[in-house]
Amino acid sequence: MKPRPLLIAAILGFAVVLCLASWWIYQRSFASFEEAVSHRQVQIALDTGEAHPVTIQGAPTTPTVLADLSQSGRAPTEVACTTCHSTRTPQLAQRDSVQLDEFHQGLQKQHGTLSCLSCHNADNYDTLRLADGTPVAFENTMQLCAQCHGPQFRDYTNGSHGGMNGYWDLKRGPRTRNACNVCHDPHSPAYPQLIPVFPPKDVQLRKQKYGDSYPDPDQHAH
Amino acid sequence: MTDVKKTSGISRRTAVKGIGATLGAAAFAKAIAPLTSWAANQSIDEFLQKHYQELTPAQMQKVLKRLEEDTKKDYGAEVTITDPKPQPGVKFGYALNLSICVGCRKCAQACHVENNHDRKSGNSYIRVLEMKKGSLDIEHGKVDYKGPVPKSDSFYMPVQCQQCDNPPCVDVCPVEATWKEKDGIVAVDYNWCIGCRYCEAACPYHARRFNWTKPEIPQEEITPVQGYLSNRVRPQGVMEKCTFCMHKTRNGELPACLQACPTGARVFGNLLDPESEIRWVLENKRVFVLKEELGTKPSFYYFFDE
Repeated sequence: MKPRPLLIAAILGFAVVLCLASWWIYQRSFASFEEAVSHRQVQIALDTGEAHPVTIQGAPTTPTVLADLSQSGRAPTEVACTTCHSTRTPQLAQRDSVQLDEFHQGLQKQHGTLSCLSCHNADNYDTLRLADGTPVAFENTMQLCAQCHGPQFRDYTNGSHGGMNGYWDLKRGPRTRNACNVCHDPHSPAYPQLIPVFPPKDVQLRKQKYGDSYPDPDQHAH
Repeated sequence: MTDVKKTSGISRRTAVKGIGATLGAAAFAKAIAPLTSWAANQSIDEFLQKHYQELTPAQMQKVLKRLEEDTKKDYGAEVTITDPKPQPGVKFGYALNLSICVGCRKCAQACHVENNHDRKSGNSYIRVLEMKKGSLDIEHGKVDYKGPVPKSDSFYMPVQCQQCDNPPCVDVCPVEATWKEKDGIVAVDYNWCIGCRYCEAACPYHARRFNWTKPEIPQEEITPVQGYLSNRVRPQGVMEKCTFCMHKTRNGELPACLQACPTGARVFGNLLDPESEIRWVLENKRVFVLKEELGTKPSFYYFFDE
């Protein structure tokens, strides 16, 4: 059988095309996996510079209570807790704020079965108190909350709970984080309902709703 | 007879030819008329500008200067446009805690402001879906919910660009105006985009937006710190998308949507840093991605608290 150069060329050409095609498919389908794996072995050159601080903001330094002085004809004002509590004997049996007459009117407590003195330190109202009796400064409310809310505290310390600002890369800048009480009023800690801002003005959305003759939202400005 | 014709000046045939030529010229002039206004909108430099990935640093500097001047001219705002590069050893990841998202849409608003979106269209890269608890049917997620949130029977899922490792939007772009950067962000060269919107159609997350009009923003509301690939004011007729606030995050800052989130539902960081918060979430929470079955491999993770 005599050789057929055309046929051989065709077969070779087909083989080349096949190789190229399979390389292309491999590149598009699997190479990204390998790339992702090889990324993990990249030595990350972390600079040894000092990390910037993470500041906890929003924790009160001087504990106060809003006093309603309408009886004496004055505007409501913030009064430091010790102003009264340094001279008065605490009512240890008192569990509910509703029965507290002066200064505490309107203070709603919706925090389980806790009593006031579960958190407030009757020996020194400028501080709070852990369950074991250790006094805690108001700036460190986090410690107090963590006693019962372990999972939340864990998530907070790991960055997946609680608002923050600043830098993700602490080598390049500082970060501020909110204390628990910025979002959760300790007396009624459930996150409050709020009205959502910034309604969407999606063209498609309006078309779905009103058909093609959808109204211009600016015409309905209130 | 032939002599008479010659003396009469213009023959009938010549007259018809003349009229034809005049009409033809007029039609041609009318046809190319838009080009005159086009030339006013776009300088030669802008027209001849190369693809982002082919620009030399010197050319880039020229482009940035030109864009800053254009913004000054068009909006009266002094802005600084830079082109921050991906940091080595950084791949960005985002996670969102659906248990504590309250659906307040502050993230969408922050996105709108930070990214210099057209004020009238109310554009934002983030859409917050309201869904009934117990379901995860994002096709029926409600975007235009009203009233106090969070509703006790609902949960809220903000959706934005997922910065896929296998992005369908990049595959379909006929002019390679969109691509994936080394730190995982899918970028768009707004000056190279031809506005065909194939990428918008290809994106399974509805994460791309089109500039139907030239963005109108009051001078004092323009965010002055801008990036070439991120929040600079986009031209009319091009696609845009979330870039994880590249102009902030590549300098180490947190993205605007995270900073605006009052509950801290959002977690952002470097996926390649084992000490990062995002890695802690991936290793300790049961995370999931949207439409995993499509094989897009998102860098955006969702999770619920256990």
